[in-house]
Amino acid sequence: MPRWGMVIDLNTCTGCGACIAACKNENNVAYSSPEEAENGRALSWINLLPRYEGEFPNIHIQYYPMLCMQCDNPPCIKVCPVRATYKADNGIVAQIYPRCIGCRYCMAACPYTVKYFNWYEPKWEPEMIKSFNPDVSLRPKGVVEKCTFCHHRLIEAREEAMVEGIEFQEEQFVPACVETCPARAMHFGDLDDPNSMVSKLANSSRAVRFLEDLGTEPKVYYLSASEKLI
Amino acid sequence: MNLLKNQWFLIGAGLCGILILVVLFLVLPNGEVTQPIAFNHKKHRDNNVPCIVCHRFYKEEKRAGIPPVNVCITCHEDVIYPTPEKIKIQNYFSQHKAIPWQQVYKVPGHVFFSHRLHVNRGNLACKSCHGEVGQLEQPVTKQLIPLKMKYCIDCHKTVETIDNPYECIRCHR
Ligand code: HEC
Ligand code: HEC
Ligand code: HEC
Ligand code: HEC
Ligand code: HEC
Repeated sequence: MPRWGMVIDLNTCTGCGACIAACKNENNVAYSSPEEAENGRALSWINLLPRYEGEFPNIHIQYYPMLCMQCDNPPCIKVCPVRATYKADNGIVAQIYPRCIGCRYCMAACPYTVKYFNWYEPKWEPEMIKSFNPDVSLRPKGVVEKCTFCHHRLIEAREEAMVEGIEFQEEQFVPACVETCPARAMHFGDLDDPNSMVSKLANSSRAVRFLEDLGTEPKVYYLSASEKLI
Repeated sequence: MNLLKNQWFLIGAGLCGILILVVLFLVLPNGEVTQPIAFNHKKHRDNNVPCIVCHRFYKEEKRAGIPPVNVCITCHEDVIYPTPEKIKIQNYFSQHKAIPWQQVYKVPGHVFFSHRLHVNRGNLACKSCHGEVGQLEQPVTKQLIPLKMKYCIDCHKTVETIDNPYECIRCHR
């Protein structure tokens, strides 16, 4: 069983935000009005966390794409009273929307604040209704959602391999953000496969993880020149 | 006089309430749908029309497909013994209208299901999930076997190649 993980190279990342747009489209993430966003109720499974260093004009800006870290030891699943969020055998932290009762304990427990609550009935411009991704369900008002590593793509890829009777290949499963990244700063694959690109990068000396001392064992690694993450 | 103190009024009101509930119970839909044409699966089966002639996609796609009217018309264009039901088909066809079949078997959007996987690789007969639809003389108006989550998982438990039948994200997306 693979253990899916991601590596983001911060030295290559330009902070363009293409991953955010790709994620929103792929996963039918609802759009929010400016007022809703002001109240901190906007939905976006990836966010760019900026860090500014230095004084103008010698300013250095670094963006950190923040998505669900798919922790190996996730704090969020321990507080879920109904097991709507749990860690699957392949390491993906799943969120089973029909099971979710919207208590938001998991959001409070997440140290990375990458889980989002649907405060409103999801809404789109009428022209956009036809561009929904049918492979991803629409989340109703009142449930928590988050990045799933596009696991619907895994379901589809596995089904296709099974129907064709061939062995499922790791390369057949790529999340939308990784596929889109124009700078190729994002890498995805099996962390347990010593030959995969991600496991090599994740074991390199540049690899760091957010809030590692909490013991959450995130499976999203960042490659950084400065060795330190905020 | 205070009506609420009159016991006959109270009994009458109670009886009316019960009557309304009974009527509602009978009138409100009980999960069954009505189909526009009295379709007869058994008659087609007895005439050796295989399922795939009408449900054309189950081998190649995730859905099985409910047949559009131009599939029906390939056999029902010239009618020797017209019946009202067959005339209906021709009316839909000549008016370029789709037959408004109601889909009975439907999983919610948060569930992934694939026919080609179960039929080709799983080697399952239609009736293991849909019951004896081929023997029905009336149109399908309700699920013969209610396709609930338990039914899926109970079968997956018996399949050796499925390692953890309770893995939610195998089906939920
Ligand atoms: C492959 C040929 C074929 C196709 C396609 C086909 N039928 Fe038939 N159908 C038959 C035959 C054969 C009979 C039995 C002989 C008869 O009654 O004409 C029949 C009979 C019927 C009857 C009469 C049943 C009765 O109880 O008298 C109806 C109604 C009917 N079909 C509807 C449909 C509809 C609706 C479709 C499209 C979804 C369809 N058929 C597609 C071959 C076909
Ligand atoms: C493993 C269980 C299973 C088997 C086997 C199966 N089905 Fe289905 N079928 C389903 C489920 C579940 C749905 C609902 C699918 C959905 O909502 O997308 C469905 C839906 C349908 C539908 C209506 C919607 C659609 O997909 O177009 C038809 C028609 C159908 N099945 C025909 C068949 C036929 C014919 C066979 C045999 C070749 C078959 N099914 C075998 C489970 C099964
Ligand atoms: C002549 C065309 C025809 C053939 C052959 C045929 N069907 Fe159907 N089937 C239909 C039509 C039309 C409907 C929709 C009307 C209804 O529900 O009865 C339907 C509905 C169904 C449904 C319910 C779909 C839903 O969710 O509404 C199932 C299941 C099904 N068929 C299975 C089968 C199986 C199994 C066979 C082979 C034994 C078969 N059919 C053969 C025309 C056909
Ligand atoms: C009658 C038995 C049966 C029923 C009922 C059944 N399945 Fe399956 N299912 C199978 C078989 C057999 C396989 C193929 C397993 C294999 O070859 O590895 C399978 C495979 C699957 C897979 C892919 C498994 C994987 O490893 O990724 C999914 C998803 C799935 N089924 C969903 C469903 C859903 C949803 C339902 C209920 C609507 C359902 N199944 C009902 C027998 C069944
Ligand atoms: C084999 C496929 C399969 C697996 C595995 C599976 N489910 Fe489901 N689930 C379904 C199907 C099909 C439905 C829709 C039919 C129904 O309502 O029963 C469903 C519906 C649900 C619903 C909504 C029920 C309702 O009444 O609206 C919840 C909640 C749910 N599943 C939770 C889970 C959880 C939690 C797990 C993991 C422990 C899980 N499911 C595993 C197939 C599956």
